[in-house]
Amino acid sequence: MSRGALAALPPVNPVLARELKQRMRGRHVWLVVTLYLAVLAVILRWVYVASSRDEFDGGFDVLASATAGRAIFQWLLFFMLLLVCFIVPGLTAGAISGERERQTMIALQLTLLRPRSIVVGKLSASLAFVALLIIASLPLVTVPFLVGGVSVPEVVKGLWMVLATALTLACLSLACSALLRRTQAATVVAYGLTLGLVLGTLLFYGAQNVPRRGIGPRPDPWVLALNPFAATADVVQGRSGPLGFASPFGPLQELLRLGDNDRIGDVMSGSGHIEAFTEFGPEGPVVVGRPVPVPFPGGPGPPGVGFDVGGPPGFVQSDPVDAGDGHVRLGGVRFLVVSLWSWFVMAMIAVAVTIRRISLPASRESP
Amino acid sequence: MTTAVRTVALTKRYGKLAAVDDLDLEVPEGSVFGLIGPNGAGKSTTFAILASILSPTSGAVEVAGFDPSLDPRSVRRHLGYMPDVLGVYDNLQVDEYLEFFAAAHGLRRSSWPGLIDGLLELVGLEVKREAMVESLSRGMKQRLALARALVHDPEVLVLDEPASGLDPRARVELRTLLGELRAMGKTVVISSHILTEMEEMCTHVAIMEAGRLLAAGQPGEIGDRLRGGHGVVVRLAGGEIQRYTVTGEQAQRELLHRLVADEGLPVVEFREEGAGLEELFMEVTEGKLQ
Repeated sequence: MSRGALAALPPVNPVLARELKQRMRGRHVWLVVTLYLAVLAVILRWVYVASSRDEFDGGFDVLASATAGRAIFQWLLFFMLLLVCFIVPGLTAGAISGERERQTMIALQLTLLRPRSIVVGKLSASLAFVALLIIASLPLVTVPFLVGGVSVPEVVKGLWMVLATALTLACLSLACSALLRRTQAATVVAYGLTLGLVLGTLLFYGAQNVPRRGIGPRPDPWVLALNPFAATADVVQGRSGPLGFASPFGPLQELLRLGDNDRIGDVMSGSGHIEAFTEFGPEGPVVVGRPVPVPFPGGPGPPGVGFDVGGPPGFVQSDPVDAGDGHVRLGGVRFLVVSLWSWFVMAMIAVAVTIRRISLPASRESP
Repeated sequence: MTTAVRTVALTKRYGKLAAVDDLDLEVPEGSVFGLIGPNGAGKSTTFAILASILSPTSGAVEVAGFDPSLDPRSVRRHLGYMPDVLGVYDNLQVDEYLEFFAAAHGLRRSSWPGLIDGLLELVGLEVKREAMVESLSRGMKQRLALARALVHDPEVLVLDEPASGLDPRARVELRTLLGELRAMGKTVVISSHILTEMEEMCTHVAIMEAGRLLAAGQPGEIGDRLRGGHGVVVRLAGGEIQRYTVTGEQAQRELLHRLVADEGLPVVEFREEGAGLEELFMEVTEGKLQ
């Protein structure tokens, strides 16, 4: 592209342009990308081998192939989320505090850039790096397509969840960076917040369930809406649980599905496939559902296995799983929607705090 | 003469501590104005308020006709600020560093090459154009910071301790550079501990201590006010020395004219006595804070 044509392009956010230039010249970029892809490749290989051993012993089977494809996709998605949770706070927690430590913040604040432009530039730089990681991992993500069992919209939705998680964590980490003077402290708090969202929400929900001692209705999993893994579990929900492989999202899906009854054990067939789902009822264990072949939603394809919600009439109404689309609902709203809105609110609060913190003139700060 | 910077009863308090206390300043346009004072005198706080970094507790401020608290963006358009600490970015070339600030000031991309050439020439860093910023010496970083403060062609420059930590050569270069800026018509407000240099550079000075203004004006005027005029030593041919007390440069000229033209005395030396900035500073300040 000629210099004139370049000049005619709409101006890029100067903070973003500078951060990308600096970051790409950094010594650790190639290392992070390589490690990220290496971890995903190892996971892919491990899941593929494990699925092949389990499913392909008796010759090629379309359903088994689809199961392996789904297993690979879900494990890849799980580890992409996990790596994002590791990488984004580290990338973003020094964005503002690092400028203060390098003594460059005042010069930046005294330009004509508005605080919101600085925040957008910093966030875009972090997300651009996450986007680079996602794009770099696309060849790995295409493997499940070759094996079968996943659809393009499903993969796109999964990657959007990774990006939404990255954006939320970046906003929270940036607020930590703006509120705390030292990058070290900001990084610790940012990772603490991430841990709180991922593990803290699970522990909190577990604690909410302690008083019922396994009997009676469970509280609605509102707190799990903050958990990025739970929200992603809802995205891949309904098409993984009874398929006969250990989904990394399985435990979360179980938590989300079983709103007011505990499953106490699945009745397994001799081949290891689930024959029935049992839960605590008022008079002891009862069979509440059986896996039945159902067509995959969204078009023709090999049959999958769905969750046939049987049992007494009152049970279906009180279950948070909407039998119509297989997705969890909270207060009548889909769990995923509640999740995305709660993340959006958290992110907006974090951005507002950051903007306020870096706005000048300040009334309290010492120069 | 119009005023580039004005403060009226400017006060900044942190709890009970008054960092700046009832400060009245007037910086004439096109002047090099030195703010002098011991550590903790309130110079950096004053500069931070002028640069719209801090809001004052009370009082009025005007920079290039704008109030930094009410209209900080207009102040930033007309003011270049160089803080006392040098901050530079890693992994960035000198020209890229200046391009970033040009972009951040909303300057058109097409204007960058000429602008950056001019700035690098002004601060003497043309040969370092493609050097990494972090590899520059302290003196070079100081000059780069000055180029950065000038990137949007401000009318007023506020330089907080620009000579601190510089070696003698870099100080001389900085002094030359400030002279060039003055010749370009910029108003320069500067703080420094090196009084001899301030004396050479500044057309006006203000002396602060413990947040309060002790004296302000042209160095000679301050001495006159303090001592009711300043001493002039006249040495005649043959070695005779006479001492006079006069007020202002005009009075000095008249005295010299009278001695030489009217009285016909053989004057071989005519100099001011003890009116240096260092003497003034020591006379005015009480050494409360150091």
